[in-house]
Amino acid sequence: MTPLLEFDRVSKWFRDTVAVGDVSFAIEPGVTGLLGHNGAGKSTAIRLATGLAGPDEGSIRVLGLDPRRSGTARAAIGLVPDGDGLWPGLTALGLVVSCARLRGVSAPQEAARRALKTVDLLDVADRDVKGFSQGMRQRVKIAQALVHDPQVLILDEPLNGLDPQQRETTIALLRDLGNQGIATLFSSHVLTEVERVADRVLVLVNGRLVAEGSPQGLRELMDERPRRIQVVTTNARAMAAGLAGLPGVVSVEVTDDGVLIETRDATSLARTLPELAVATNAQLRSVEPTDENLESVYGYLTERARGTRR
Amino acid sequence: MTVTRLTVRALLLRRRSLALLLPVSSVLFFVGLAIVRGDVVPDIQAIIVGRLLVTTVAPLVALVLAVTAIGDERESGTIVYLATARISRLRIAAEKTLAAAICTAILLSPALIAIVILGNHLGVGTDNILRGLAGTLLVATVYVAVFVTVGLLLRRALVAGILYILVWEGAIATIAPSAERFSMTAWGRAITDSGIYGLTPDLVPTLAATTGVIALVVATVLAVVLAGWRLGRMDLP
Repeated sequence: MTPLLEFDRVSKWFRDTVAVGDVSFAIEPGVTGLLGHNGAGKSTAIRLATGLAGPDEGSIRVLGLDPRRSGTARAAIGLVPDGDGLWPGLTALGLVVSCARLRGVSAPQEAARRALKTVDLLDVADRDVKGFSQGMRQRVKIAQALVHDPQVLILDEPLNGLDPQQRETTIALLRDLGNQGIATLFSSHVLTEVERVADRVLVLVNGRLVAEGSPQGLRELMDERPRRIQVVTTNARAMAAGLAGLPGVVSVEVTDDGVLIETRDATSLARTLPELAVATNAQLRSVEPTDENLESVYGYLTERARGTRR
Repeated sequence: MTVTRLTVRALLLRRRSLALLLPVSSVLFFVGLAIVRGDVVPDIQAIIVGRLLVTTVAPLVALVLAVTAIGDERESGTIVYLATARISRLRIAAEKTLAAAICTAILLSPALIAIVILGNHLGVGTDNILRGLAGTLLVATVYVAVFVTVGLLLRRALVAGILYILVWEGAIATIAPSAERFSMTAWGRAITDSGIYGLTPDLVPTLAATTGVIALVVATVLAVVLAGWRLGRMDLP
């Protein structure tokens, strides 16, 4: 069966910078999260998927067609761009009707009302979008992307700039759309958001696809990775000697104010540290992980993908 | 025609577009002056229509609106809604050109009314008044088409356009008769001025009106095709 959206060894450069490098994946019905830090290549991948930009190498297919050349391929996609720009002087209904017309919808008024109902904006359909909150503008953008019943819905950082309540509404909406069988691809740099919505995650690091699979699988992968923990203590050398032989400990390094430990079993280390401190007559002043941010997770996945780390 | 409608609305809602009425008002000023002074020399028609409106005012208005028609959409990001639609990039370029041409005609309309009044005052005849209107609108359209294309090719299209209008069209092509063959305003003046009798030799166009019409239409079509080709190959934000 032809995948709805397929990247085949796609690369895109901007002068000397690799924005997307040798990326291959396929999107099927359900919600797929495109996870990566800022500058990882998520927006470039989305621009390539929608035909806004062309690849320097490889090919992109939507329903087996090139979205840059085929109107049919573009008509199968609904895009919610990252930018906040909307045409001036239009009501929500007027804007969505215009988008319906651009995409050749036969009954644009009815389709626009349906799309606005989906995003719960039908009550304010006749209001100028100029006065809308950011959350409402985001929903108008989603409505215009849904107005032509696309098979693939692509959203670039749809949760950016939304307040907590707006986030919850948008997350629920994305889940609903995924359940309706629309192949939904959305980008984010927040792992917990992706985990809540996506059935599948693609992780981009510096333009390369370094991991893909279920959010659960990604979480397990993260749990398996060695953790770096900084212990500030008064007797670093004795603590280091005691830590070196413990199960799960990969490395121990004495630093200026304590010990830097790399372990695969953080839970066991947490149990052992107080006992060891008593045994070595050391005071524990602080115990803090140094790599709990996403950057370090991406870094780990990158090294793993390159085969430099096991 | 959704692209045309959206673009016309966006261009006319811009406050900066109203600033373009300033160069347009210069035509009203000179027409008013000619009428008040009671001048009835046919040269006045050629100077105000051919040299002021066609050579400077219409190109300036067309330049700003043409560059804005796509430039503003790229800046605000709304162009992604057009570029991801089913319609071709050539059609987007053609509709953008049409929209900017319509807005140019709307903003030039006070000047167009003024030249009708001037023509009647000078008694140049209905034919020449219609030639003046048609020539101005054709020149405005070709400028829009060319500057939409230039806007897609150059970052500083506005600066390049102003230099082109002032240096090439306003100076070189007006002074050097051999350069007239490659001047869009000369093609326009061939339409607006070639039927006026009694012009001083310097103001008589060297090109025939038919040549002017053909050149303007061909240039417009080529520019739109080039803009569509360029838009189809460029990466959008």
